[in-house]
Amino acid sequence: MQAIETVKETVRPGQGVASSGFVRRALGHRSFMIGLVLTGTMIILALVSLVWTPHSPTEIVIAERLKLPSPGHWLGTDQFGRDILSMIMAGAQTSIVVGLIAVSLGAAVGISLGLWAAARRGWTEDVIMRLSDLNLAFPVILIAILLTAGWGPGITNAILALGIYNISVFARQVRGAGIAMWEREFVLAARAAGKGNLAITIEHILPNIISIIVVQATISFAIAILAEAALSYLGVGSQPPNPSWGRMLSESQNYIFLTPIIAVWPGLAIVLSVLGLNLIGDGLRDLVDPRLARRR
Amino acid sequence: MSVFLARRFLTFLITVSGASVIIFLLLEVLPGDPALTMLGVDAPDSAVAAIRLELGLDRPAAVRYVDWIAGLFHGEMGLSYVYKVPVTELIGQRLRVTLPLAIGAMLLATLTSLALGIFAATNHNRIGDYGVMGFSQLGLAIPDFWFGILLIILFAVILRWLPSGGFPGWDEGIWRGLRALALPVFTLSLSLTAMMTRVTRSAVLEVAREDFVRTARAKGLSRRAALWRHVLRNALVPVLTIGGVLVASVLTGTLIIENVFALPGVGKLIFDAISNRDLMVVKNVVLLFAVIVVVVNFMVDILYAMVDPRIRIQT
Repeated sequence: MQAIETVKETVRPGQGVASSGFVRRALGHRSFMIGLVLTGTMIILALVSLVWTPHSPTEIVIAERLKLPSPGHWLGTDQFGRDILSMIMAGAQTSIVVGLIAVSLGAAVGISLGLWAAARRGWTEDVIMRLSDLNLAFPVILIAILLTAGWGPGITNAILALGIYNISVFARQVRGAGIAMWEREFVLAARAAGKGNLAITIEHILPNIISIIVVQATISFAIAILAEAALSYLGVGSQPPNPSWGRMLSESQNYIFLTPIIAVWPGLAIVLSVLGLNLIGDGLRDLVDPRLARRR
Repeated sequence: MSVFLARRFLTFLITVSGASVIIFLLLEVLPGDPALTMLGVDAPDSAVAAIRLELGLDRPAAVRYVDWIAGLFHGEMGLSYVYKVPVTELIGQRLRVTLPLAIGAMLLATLTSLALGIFAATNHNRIGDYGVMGFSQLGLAIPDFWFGILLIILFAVILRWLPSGGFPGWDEGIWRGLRALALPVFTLSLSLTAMMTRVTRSAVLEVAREDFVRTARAKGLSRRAALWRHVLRNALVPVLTIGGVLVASVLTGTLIIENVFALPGVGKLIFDAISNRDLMVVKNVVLLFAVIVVVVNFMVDILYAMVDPRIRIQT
């Protein structure tokens, strides 16, 4: 659950992601490429599972329970005889969907608030930052506990908890970068040309901080996957029969004295996915601002 | 400094008050009738009426909120609906497990990460540095509940050196208690160590490039002496800034780890309370955790402003 509260990494405004040599530099960045392969594998597994899995991820076959890996079941079967590989493939869908919706929700609200605070400053900024302080008082798991205690467990609450948590993460990041942009000459020029706050924000501020937002979104996505798994492990996230890596781990824990290997696969899936996204995030940060790469 | 302190303290008060309002709204107002939340919608009317009377849920929400906060100022958190004992007593008992777990993990993580971070920075871009960075990258990606399960498989199932879970209680002897907490502490410390190692390494590298360190070296100070006398002292400042994040990580970590190892701490208490719909326990434990996070953030802000005057000016 560590990553639910991972250090909020800061990124400095740098050149845009879409610079001419970006793709060439990205291809030569080893850890970025490893991250891309790992994340790509997760996405492909999830997409393939939409149309095909080796077995049904929800079909219970008691005669086949707790089987070790074999040609028929590459990763073995669980306590209900379900095929673990199929469950992991279907579980990737859950992780991606939860991560995407939660990060999009947090980013949409957080970026708007951050841009607004940077443009208006004064009491608007104060109010937004104090709300952000309040948001930070509640780590994801506490928000999920509150929502679950009030409305019962479910994947919607997990998404909401992660989305709400991400609002302040994005708002703070965007506000900081936005304020720095508002002090640049080209913004003064735009203002002199008669443009209003909204136009400057959309035409000048946002395009110049988009790289920071992309990096943050990647890191937040990784955190969301870890958090979703943790919430499902604790029983307050995804519910049966919806496959989830966290719940697979929780269910497997009762059988580790009989077949320890069944607890290995879902955890490995989480680690490789999160590692992939973290490596992409780190790589993007290096590529977007090479000054940071030199410093690291 | 006093203006800064006053502003920060005001923010602290607003945040804590806001947190209590949000908790109350989410648990007792927005979901509808709290008596129905606790008993379920199919509960007989008589039972619902009885619990309303027993817990004072028939009073207006504003009155209940004020009562709750007034009680907190007197150290009262109300009665657990399930255990029929004061919530303060329940939390007090459970903290005997949660606190040693959290403190043990923090200590282990601090010592390990300082050693690893300094080692990596002093071996920058060498194999030792890559090894430490690889470890910290993995440590951030490994879910602690999975790490805990792997440790159980290794130390309890295969080697049979340590118990797989549970806690005998401190009355059974300190050694047995510590033995039960060994795997949970180690599990909880992994992600903290990974996080702090990265920050320590970056901070040491950053400070080592500063002019005053170069001057110290030019004056004839050895590399090792410059590191211990100048670099480390200054490098600890950035490490301090993630104190709030770390405490939040430890708190949420204990909630999970206690469930992995079936430890009777506050984390187990709150998830049992959710299953039992014991709103009184959920409400107070969540507030306690939120307040701890806010207090630590407040203290970090103050400490940081004390060591770095630029912060006071910016704020």
